[in-house]
Amino acid sequence: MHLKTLLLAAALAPFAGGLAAAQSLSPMRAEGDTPSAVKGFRLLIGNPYRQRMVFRVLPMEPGFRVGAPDAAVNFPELALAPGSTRQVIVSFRIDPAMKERTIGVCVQPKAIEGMVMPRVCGTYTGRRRG
Amino acid sequence: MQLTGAVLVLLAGLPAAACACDVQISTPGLLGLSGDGRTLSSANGLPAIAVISDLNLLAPTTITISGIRLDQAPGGFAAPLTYAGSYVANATLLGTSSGTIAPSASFQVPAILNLVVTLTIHNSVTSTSGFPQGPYTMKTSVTCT
Amino acid sequence: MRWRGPIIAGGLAIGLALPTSPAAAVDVTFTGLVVDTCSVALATPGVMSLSGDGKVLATDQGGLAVPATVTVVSIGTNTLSLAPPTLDTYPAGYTPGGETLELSTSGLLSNPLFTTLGIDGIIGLLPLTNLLVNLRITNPDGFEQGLYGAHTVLTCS
Repeated sequence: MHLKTLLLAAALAPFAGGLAAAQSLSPMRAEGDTPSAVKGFRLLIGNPYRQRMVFRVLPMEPGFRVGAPDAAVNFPELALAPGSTRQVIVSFRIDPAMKERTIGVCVQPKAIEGMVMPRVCGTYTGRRRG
Repeated sequence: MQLTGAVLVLLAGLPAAACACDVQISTPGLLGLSGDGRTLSSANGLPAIAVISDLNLLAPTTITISGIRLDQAPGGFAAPLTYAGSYVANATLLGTSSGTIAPSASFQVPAILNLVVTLTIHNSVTSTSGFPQGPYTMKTSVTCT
Repeated sequence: MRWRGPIIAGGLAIGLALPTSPAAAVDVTFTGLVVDTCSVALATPGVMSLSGDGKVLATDQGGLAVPATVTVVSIGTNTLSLAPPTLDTYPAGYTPGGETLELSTSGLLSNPLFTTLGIDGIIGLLPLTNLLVNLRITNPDGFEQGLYGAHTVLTCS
């Protein structure tokens, strides 16, 4: 009984904050041409909830398991007021030997307490023109 | 003189029908998606503005707005749709006329020299299952008779 | 006179050329672009409690245990994926490796049987909708006293 109570207390402790964490990403998918070896996309990231949130914006390989090399976001960390949105630009290099490249971009809270880490990920394809 | 008279009689004898009006699209409309994702509407974007001039000087002109339709949508989109629209017509010295386009709307303007009518039109289309990602085009027809 | 001839002919030509039918309709055009959007929010972080036999730590044990609640808003067609859960924190006296972590879901994605695998589903147009996530850790050797934390990653893509 005592052990069960202690475990319960321990389980409750990290959730005392109980804050809701949320983010939105738009568009979820996009494609476009580039005349050079670098392609960029403008993405809109939103905080639709009632508290200030800090998000991480991460370029990922398709499948969203590992980070994407030769890709960058102009604001890899974003602090957003409740209900606000902000544009970021993700750009990535396309190997000259390839005609196109697809990357993912995931938006997730920088710090979160809870059993679920929520994230929104989009897929973006750049094609070399000519 | 006789010839001139003959020409004038010829011209006066022509039927005073239709038409001539010139419809110029001053601003094409922009559609935006509603918060629930079910309605594409210029109310969430910008209305279209058309300018109608060169109206018939011999008789009143009836301007009809009709045929609201979705002209372009992503491939395979075939959901049941509901259309709606409204208009506001402004003409100097004549005031304003407005109404809903369901499925058409008409109003009359008198035969006045140099009359210009500015028509502001809203369109919307609703799909209960929402809209897939992609470009959309709606069209509405404006006719003078 | 020669110049009048053309006048008569011209007058006749004008008369014949004037239109007698209504003007053709002019199309007024509206354009727009719909983009897919997804928004996910952790509304309730979830609380685990211990089973009576001390071998199961889970969010569906009743009492103070509650599942995690995620709210989802979706425009267009998107995919929700829950990754297999992982153990994040455990007390100093506990040796990890003997436990099994499982998930089940209800609400937006219904997968009521606990599974060690991930859970996926396609979602379409959704207003604010709840997804309930239950997490269960089972260890036949029981649990040491202390703080335990586990999580899954929910991806909307």
